Amino acid sequence: VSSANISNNIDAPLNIPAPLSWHQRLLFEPSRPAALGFLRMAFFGYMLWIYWDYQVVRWADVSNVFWMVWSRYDLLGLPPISKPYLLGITFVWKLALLGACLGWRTRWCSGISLVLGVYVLGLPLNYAKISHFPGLLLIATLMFWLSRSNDSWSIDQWQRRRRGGEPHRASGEYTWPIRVVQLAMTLAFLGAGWSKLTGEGWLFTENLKYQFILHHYLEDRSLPAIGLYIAQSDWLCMFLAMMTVAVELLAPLALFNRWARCFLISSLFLMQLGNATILGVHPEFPWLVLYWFWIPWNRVGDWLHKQMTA
Amino acid sequence: VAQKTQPTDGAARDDPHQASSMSSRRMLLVYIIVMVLIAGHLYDVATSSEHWPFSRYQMYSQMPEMKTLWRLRLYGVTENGEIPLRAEEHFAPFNMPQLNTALMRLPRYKRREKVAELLHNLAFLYESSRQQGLHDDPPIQSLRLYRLKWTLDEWARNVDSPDKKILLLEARMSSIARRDSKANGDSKARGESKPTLTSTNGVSSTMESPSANTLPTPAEADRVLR
Repeated sequence: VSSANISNNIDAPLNIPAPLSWHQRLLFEPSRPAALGFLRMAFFGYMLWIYWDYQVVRWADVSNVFWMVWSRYDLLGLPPISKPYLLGITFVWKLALLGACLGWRTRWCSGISLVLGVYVLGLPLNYAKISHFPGLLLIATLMFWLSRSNDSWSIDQWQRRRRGGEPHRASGEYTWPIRVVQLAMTLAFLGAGWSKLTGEGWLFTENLKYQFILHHYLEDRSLPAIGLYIAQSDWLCMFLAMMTVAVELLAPLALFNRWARCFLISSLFLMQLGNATILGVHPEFPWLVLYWFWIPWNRVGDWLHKQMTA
Repeated sequence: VAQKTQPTDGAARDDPHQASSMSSRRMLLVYIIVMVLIAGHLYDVATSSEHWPFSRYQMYSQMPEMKTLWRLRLYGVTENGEIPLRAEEHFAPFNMPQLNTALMRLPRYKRREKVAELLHNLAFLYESSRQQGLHDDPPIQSLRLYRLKWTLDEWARNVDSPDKKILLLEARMSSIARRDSKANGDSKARGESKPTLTSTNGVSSTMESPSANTLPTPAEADRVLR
């Protein structure tokens, strides 16, 4: 069976007399391996790019006085280790990211990048303040490790084809890892929306207005003035605050409906982009790569293929 | 195409495993992952707790102080005068939120030596960052911790001119500057040994009974940290 003949799309339901229930259709609807393989390559490539200069070894210079021994984030009791080991771990971790990106010994490389990533990305969380963004990146890494993400866009697959292996059929194996990352992302936004809704009056006060102003005082560097202009308009701040809570609370709907997906995910993307640029929150925008999981790559590939053959 | 290539016999229609080309064990594994993800997130949301990598993501859900603002900030004293210091440039690997939080936790330290140790380690990181070329500011003679207080301006015009700037602590760097930052990662190189902390007005008593003009009280710090 040629891969070109295989029906494929994550978003377009297959015309099968529905043996799958809604949750099975959500998680296991057959799709081609190309989207997952491309996402694996893009994800690990992006991780390698944003952490290329990251020197976890610098934490070896930080005094234990900053260590939060009382923290609930204490990494399984793993202490900071000495410089040579940290250097070695970081080097192997980045090598594993590269291997997983290229799809070379993918299962091993993604497994190593997961295990070492928990330490390398988790270690800074034990100093002074927790940061949320590495959590979802590691969950996505776990999904790639557990999945058959090397069945496309990989050296593993290229070698397999050279040995005469058949192309892989469409399968639910290529759908569920993407869906699980999407689910984890929507749950994070749901939690954030609920915290705002049950917090100290996010919706009907001047909270957001003052957030726009406060960050100019709290940041060490200067921020663009657009936040201050927005802060001058009470109705705009209230509108943005209500929209923020609404799209965060409704985020899980994006899993089930294409139009909800378009609206909610693009709104959340713009919101986080605004956080990064206007408020200076995680300006490197590490979650950008997670938004790529919402793009129907198989459909994009089909469109590109059609354009090129035309 | 789908109808031609997908299994369409009766067995496939009745068997979701065949329709999705997945074994039941693999499907069970996925369901377990999904349940753990949902349960972990909902538990943290319901109990207002944090169990990394799960969280209730409560940032910005609390009301900030509307009229005034205070924060702790580090300054370095160089031959040319006092310069404000930035976390990412001067105290790598810390970033700004981490450093702010660490400074906010100072009131929790009962032992004065611990505060001194913290400041000396920051001074060491400054020098280490300088030698690694992360910034090109001159060596500092001392590190000063200030409490800054502003009346909030809607256009943030007074960011560089706080209403109050109170010196809380000063750590002199004479011993730090002599240390070889390339030595190794031992405690001496990290600036943990024999710190020299100069008290400023009210600081000595601050560790035991904070007053309004010195370090923030733990309750104040908690309010800001939220």
